[in-house]
Amino acid sequence: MADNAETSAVPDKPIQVKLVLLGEAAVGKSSIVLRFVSNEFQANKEPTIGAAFLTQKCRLEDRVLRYEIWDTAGQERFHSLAPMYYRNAQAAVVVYDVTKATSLEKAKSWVKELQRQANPNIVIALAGNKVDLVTASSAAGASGAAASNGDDDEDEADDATATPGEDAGEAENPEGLRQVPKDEAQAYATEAGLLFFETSAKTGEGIVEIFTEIAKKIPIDHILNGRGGASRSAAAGAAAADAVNLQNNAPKGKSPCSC
Amino acid sequence: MLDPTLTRNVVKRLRTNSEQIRAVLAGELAVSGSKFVAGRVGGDDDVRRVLAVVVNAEFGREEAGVFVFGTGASGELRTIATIPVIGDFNVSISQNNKEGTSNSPEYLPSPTFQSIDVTLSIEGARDRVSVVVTNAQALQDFIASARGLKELFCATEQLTPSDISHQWLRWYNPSILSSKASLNPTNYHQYIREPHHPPTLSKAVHGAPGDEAADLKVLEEAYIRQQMRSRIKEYSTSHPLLLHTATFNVNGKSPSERLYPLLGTTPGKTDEDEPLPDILVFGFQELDLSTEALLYLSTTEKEETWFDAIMEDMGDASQDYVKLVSKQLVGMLIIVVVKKSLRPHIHHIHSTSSGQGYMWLGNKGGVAVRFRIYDTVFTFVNSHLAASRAAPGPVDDMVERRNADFTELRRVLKFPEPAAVPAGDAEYTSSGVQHSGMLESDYTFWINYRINLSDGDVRELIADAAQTRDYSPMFPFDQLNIQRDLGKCFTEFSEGTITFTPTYRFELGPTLGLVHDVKRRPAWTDRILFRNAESVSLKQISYDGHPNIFLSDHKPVTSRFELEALTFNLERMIAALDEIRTPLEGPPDLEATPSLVIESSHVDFGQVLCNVPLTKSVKLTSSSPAVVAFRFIPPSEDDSTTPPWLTVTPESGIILPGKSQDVEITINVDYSAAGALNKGANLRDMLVIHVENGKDYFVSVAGDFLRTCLGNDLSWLASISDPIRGIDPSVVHGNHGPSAPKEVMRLVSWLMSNATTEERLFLGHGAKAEVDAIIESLDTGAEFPSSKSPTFALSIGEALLELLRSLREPVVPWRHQPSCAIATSRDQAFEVIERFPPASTNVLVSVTAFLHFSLQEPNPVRATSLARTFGSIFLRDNPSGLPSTWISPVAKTRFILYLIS
Repeated sequence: MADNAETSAVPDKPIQVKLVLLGEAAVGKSSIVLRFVSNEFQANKEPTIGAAFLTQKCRLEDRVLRYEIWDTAGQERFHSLAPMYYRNAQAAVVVYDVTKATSLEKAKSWVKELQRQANPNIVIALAGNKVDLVTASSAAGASGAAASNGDDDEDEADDATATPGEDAGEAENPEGLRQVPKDEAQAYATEAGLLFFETSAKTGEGIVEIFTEIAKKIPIDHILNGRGGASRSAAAGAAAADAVNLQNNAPKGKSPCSC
Repeated sequence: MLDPTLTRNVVKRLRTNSEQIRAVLAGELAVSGSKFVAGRVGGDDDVRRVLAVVVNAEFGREEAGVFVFGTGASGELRTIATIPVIGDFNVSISQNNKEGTSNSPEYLPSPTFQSIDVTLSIEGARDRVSVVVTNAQALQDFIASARGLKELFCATEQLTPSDISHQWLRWYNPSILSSKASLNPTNYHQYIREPHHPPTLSKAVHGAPGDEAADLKVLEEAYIRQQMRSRIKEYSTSHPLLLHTATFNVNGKSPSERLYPLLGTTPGKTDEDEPLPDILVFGFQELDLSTEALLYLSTTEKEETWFDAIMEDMGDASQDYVKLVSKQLVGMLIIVVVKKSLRPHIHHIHSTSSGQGYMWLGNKGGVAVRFRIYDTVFTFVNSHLAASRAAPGPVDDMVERRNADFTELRRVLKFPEPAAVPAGDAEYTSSGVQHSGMLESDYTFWINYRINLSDGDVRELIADAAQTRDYSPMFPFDQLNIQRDLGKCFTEFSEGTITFTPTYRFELGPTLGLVHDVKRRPAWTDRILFRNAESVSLKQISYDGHPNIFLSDHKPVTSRFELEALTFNLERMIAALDEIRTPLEGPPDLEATPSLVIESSHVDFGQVLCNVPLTKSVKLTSSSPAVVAFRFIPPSEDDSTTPPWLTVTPESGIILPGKSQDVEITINVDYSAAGALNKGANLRDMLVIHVENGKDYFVSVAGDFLRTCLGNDLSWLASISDPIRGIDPSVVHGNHGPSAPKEVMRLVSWLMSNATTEERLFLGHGAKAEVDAIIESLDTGAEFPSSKSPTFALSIGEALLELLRSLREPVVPWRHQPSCAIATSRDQAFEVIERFPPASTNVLVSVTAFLHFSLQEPNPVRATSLARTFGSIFLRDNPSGLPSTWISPVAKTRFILYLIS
C-alpha cells in the first residue's frame, strides 16, 4: 500500500528487520539479546526453549528500524525448528564462545546452513562472545565464570551459563582460557563474507556495534520494496523516540536505548 | 329452557367454563319428613334452595353432579353440597297434599299445570336433599336430565370405575370452598409451582428501599411456594410414569419399514421383560410434501397410516394402549398414546396448532397438546421451523427467522383454559376467555427444532466422534446451543447430552439413509427438549438417534423420561397452606416493627485462594413479634448487591417471629475475579440487608486474597519478574521485557528436563493436590514440591494447561485468531505468530517447541490429541463474541499441528 515516495517522505516509520540468533547452546545468545533490548545481564539464565521473540527499535541516520529478533535455542534437539525461525530473516547473528573451540565449529555449520537455505540477501554477523572471560580486568572481578566445559553433548548443556570451573588460578591468566584466537575467527569471517565482532553480553562490549553494523549493511530499499516492509511498518506505529540511536552509541555499561 | 337468572347465578359458582348446566330449578327446603338434610346451614329463614345438574366433560367423558346451593337475601348462591350422579344416586318425587306426602315416585305432574306442589328428593351416598318445587316444566327437565345421566354412567361404569370418576367435584367440597386460600382447579398450582417469569423485587439500594409493600408481597408468595413444595409429600400422592417421546421427519415417505427403534421396544418383549412406557408421544414432520396437502387441510389419511404402523409394530402390547389425542397441521402431526389403565386419570385434554410458513398455511409451524394426568399438567409441542438455506456458509441467515418463529409459536400456541399462574404467559383473549401458554405446565416437552451446524469442518468432526462417541467438539457450533446460550430461544428448556451422529441430511437413492448427504451440512435438526416445574421430578433415561431407520433423509430421535404425576389431597393441601399462611397474616401486635438480630456483623474469611470457595454462615434472627421480610440490597447506586466473587444464599426471605434463618456467604475468587485482585484490589465488601418496613443492617466481609499467577493478562504476568505473591501491587513494575511469563518458562523447563518421554503428558490427569502445590510454588517462587509420585509430571502438565486456560484473554488474542484459521502451511503459521504480542509469541514458541521435541518419534495420533488440547486453550473462543467469528476446532487443531510437527 505504501509506495516509495511515502516511505521516504515519512522517514520515522520503522522498517521491520527480522534477525535471528543462532549458535551452540550456552554461548550467550539470549544474553546478547537481553543486553541489546533491556541493557541488562542475568547470570544463570535458564536455557531457551525453542526460541524467544523480542523486538527493539533502533535509529540509523534518518531511519528507524524495528528489529524482530528470534533468539533460538542452541540445543541440538530444537535444530529441526530452526528453519522456521530464520525463514525470511534479513539478518543473522551467529554466536560462538571464545572459550570453547567447538562452538566455532558449530557456528561455521550454522553459517553454511544459512548461506545454503536462508534468504540469499541475508546479512550474517559472527559474534565471539564471553570476551570478558579472557580480559584481565573483568576476569579478576566477580564474574566467576571460567573456561568452556568442553562438553560436546549439547543436550546436557541445559544451563545456558554452563561455564564451570571457578578456579582462582585461571583468573590470573585470563588469556589462557581463550580457545578461539581472534585472528582465526576474523580470517574465517572475512573469507565467508561475514561481519565479525568479539562481544561480552556481561559488560556490553561490542553488542550495540553488531546491530549497528548490520543496520548499515541491510539493503533497506530492498526491504521496503520486498517482503511487506512498508505495509507492516504502518501497522507497527512509529515511535522513534524509543529507538536505540545507532549513530551515537551509548558508552559501554549504559543503556543502548536513547530514551 | 333454563331459567336465565338462575342459570347466571349458578354459573358464577362454577369453577371452570368446561362445566355446563343441564338443568336448574329453585324450591324451598322440605322440612318435614326428611331423614337428613344436606347442608343444614343458616337460620330458619334460610330455606331457599337452588338445584342444578352440572356436567363436566374434561375427563373425556360426561360426568354429572347435582349441586345444592343455598341462597341469601342478595340472591348470591352458596354451594352447600354436591351429589355425584353415579350408581347410588337416586331421584324421586312425591306430591304434597294436605294429608301429607304421597309416596308415588313414578308420579309426574302434567306439564300443562303451570304451578304444582311437589317434593323432589335427591339421594347420594353421603348427602340427601328434599325441596318443594312449584315449576312443573323445570322439574320435568331436571328429572329427565338427572336420570338420563345416571343411565349413561351405569352404561359406561366398566370404563370408568366410580372410585376414580368425578374428581372434579372435590373442588366443591365445602371445606375447600370455605378456605381462605380459595383453591380452584385452575389456580392451585400457583401455590406450588414457580412462575416462569417470577415477579421481581423492586429496585432498591441502601437509603432507597423501593416499593416495600409490593416487595413484601412478592417475598411472602415466594415463601409460601417454597414452603408448600417442601411439604408436598404431606398432601400429595406421586404416581410414577414412564414417558417415551420420538421425533421423526419422514420426508413425505410412508412407513415402509419396521419402527421398533422409534417405539423403544423390542419385538416380542412384554411389560415384565422391560417396563413399557405409560405414555408415548410421537412428533412427525413433513408427513406430506404434496401441494395438495396445503390445500386440503382436513385429511387424516397420513395420520392413520402412521398410527396404524406404530400400533402394528407394538405387537401384542398395542392392546393395552389407546390413542389419547392427536393434532395435525399439514405435515406436522403429534400423536399421544397412553396405557388404557392410565386413560381414566387423564383429563383437561386440549390441542392447538399454528402455521408459520408460506401464507401461514402450516407447512412450518407447530402443533401442541396438553392434558392433565391426575393433577399434573403435561404439554407437548411438535414444531417444524424455517429450514436452513441450501447453500453452505458460515452464517445461517435463517437463524434469526427461526428464533422469530419460536417466539411467535410460543406466543400463539395457547390452550383454552385459565393459566395457573397469572404472571406467566396467560393472556385474555378478546372473548374474555383466559388462555394459558405452553409453559403454564408442570412438564413441557418440545420436539424437533430444525437447526444446522454452521461449520464446514463438521464432517471431519463427525468422523472423529464416530470413534470416540464424544460429539462435544461440535456442540459450540450447534445453532440451537448457540441461540440458547445467547438467550434467544428455548432458554427455559433443557436438553440431554447428544451422543448420536447428526440426524440430517442423509442420502436418498442407492445409498438410502446410509451416509450424510454431501451437499448439505450435517446437522442435529431433530431434538427433544424438556422443562419441568420444581414441584415434579424428571429424569431423562435415554436420548438416542436411530441410524437404522432408513426411509427418510432424517433419522428419528427418541428420548425416555421417568416422571411423576401427583394427586393432591385438597383438604390436606388447604391445611398446609393455612398453616403456612396464618403466621404471615399480620403481627399480633400491629405496632411491632420488624427487626433482626445478626449473629456477627463482620465475617472474616482469612486467607482466600483462587478458585477455592469458602463458605461461612450468618444467623439472622427475627427479634420482634413481626414477620421479617429481608433482602440483600446494593450499598449504593453504582454497586451490585454483591461483588462478583461473593454470593449470598438466600438473597431474600421471610423469617417468622422468634425464628432464625442461616444465610450462607460464599467467597469464590474465580479466574475472572482474580485479575483485579492480583493487581491489588481489596477482598472486602459491605453487605446491606434490608428489612421491609424496617431498618438496613450491615455485614462486612473481608478476606486476605493470596495473589496468584492464575487469571491474569498474559502481558501483565510476563512483565512481572518476581513471584507474584511477593510483589507490592501498588508499585508499578518495571517492564521485564516481552518474554513469556516466568511461570510458563519454569513449567516448560521442568518438563524439558524431566518429562520429554511421558506419553500421557497433557492427555492424562495429574493429582489435584499436586497441581495445587505446583501453582502455589509458582506463586511464591518456592521450589516445586519434590515428588516421586508417578503422576507428578502429569501434574506439572496440568498446571501448565490450567495456567494457560486461566488467562483473561487466550494466548492467541481474539483479534488474531482469524489469521490462524486461514494459515495453510507451517510457514504461514509462523508468519502469523510473529504478528502476535511478544508474550503470546513466546508462550506459543516455547510450548510448541517442547511439544515438537517430545514428538520426535512420529506419533500422529498423539500429535493430534495434543494439538486439539492446546488448540482449544491457545485459541479459546471469545464468550462475548459472535459465534460466527469463532474458529472451528478442526482449524485450531490444524494450526497447532503446524507448530508442533
